[in-house]
Amino acid sequence: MMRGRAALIVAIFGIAAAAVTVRFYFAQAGPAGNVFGGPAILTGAPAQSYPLTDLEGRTDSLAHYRGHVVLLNLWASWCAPCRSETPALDRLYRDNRAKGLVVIGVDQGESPRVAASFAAEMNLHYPILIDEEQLYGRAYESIGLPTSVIVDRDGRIVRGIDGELTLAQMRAAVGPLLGTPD
Amino acid sequence: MAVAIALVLAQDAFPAWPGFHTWQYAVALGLISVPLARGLRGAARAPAIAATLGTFIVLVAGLCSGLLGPDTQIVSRSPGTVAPLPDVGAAAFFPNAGAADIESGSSAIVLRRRDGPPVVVAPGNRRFLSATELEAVSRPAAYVDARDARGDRLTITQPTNPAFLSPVLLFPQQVTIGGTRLPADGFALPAAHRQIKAFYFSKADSEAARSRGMAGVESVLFAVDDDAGRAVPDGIGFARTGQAISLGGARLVPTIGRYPALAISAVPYPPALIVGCLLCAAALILSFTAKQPKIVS
Repeated sequence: MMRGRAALIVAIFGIAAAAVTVRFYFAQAGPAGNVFGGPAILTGAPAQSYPLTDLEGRTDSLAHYRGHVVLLNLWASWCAPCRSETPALDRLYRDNRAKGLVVIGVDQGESPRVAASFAAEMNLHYPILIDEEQLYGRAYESIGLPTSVIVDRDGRIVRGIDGELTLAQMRAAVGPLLGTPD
Repeated sequence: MAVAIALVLAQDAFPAWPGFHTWQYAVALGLISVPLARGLRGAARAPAIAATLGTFIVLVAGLCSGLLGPDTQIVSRSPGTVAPLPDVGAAAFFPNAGAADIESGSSAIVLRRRDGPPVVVAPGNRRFLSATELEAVSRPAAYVDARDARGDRLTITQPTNPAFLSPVLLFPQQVTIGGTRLPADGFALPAAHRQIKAFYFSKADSEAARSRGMAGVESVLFAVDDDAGRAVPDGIGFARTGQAISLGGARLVPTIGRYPALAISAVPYPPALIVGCLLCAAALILSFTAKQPKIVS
């Protein structure tokens, strides 16, 4: 009688423990992640900021523009799509700066002299930061150049976009955040 | 019982051993449970029942971890990037690293969870989260500074690396050169129209290769090609950490050191393990404290 009861207790607890443990393993979500999706996967994440120098040698960073809508554009002077996109970026900045838009161009891995030469050649009005160590490129999951990241007034990433954008696409991306029609 | 518990606890001690995920290990645990069940048939006292129950729970935890838990995997990401870890319910933040961080090899991976404080996994350290063990494994890495003939810095891209804009080489591939397997990586200098292969030589590899001036010194062998993949004249050379070398029109300075990767191993589900071990401990205590029958001489 006693043996039977003991066996029953063991069986019940054993099955319960087994069930809990097995369920735990089956509930696990899948393989760990070398999941790569480019800048688009950053939507909703807080925008990371690193102090850099601008073309005048002053320290600046994305964090200084909290409260503005920011279009962060990663570029390099050798990148043909970056070069072709730049006039539209400058136009977007000039048209919308009064509404609270800031365009920040972050040169990836080049010397200040090269970035300054590019900015002068393209007659750029928006701030240019020099990121010689390519910190922003890594943090923003850049899978190519140019990479554009839209940051809202609270410092959260709204969209990350790989590749060249047209002026219409830029307006559509920042318009809702500025309270203007797309 | 002791053997059963030891076999399962070994998963916590050596979580990366692949043998835990084989059918042989499962069979060994299964065979141990047979005498356990037989012993139960004769058990009538509380300590024996508790010990049997505890061991059984530990065995189930060990079996589940071995059969259902994932094999050990190494998550390697470039500095400044994030890797989601759904199994662990966390995201691993690989810290940004400049030349000094790579040289010191002290970068620690930070795991951020929604429902808990961040967990820092420093090189050589082990942390347990849920039914996984996490270890930061230091691997060879090199931070590369590339400049053109005028001394202007050149953008480094890694077209085959998801971290496209990283100047840090993690040498994820293995290439055999002259009978020696070497960690290898590659990068491009688009502005200079150069593609560069890089091979990491440990002190021992350098010694064996007897490379001029590099014997017994950690170094990187660079091989420079043009845009079309053709080797350029004077495009191959060794550089030790901090040494500038001009190859194929580019001036390269590697800073050689370490950067961590995250090793993730399955371990037995801790709650089951704790309950099982506590039951066994309780059984031991009970058996020692139980009244011994008086011996009448």
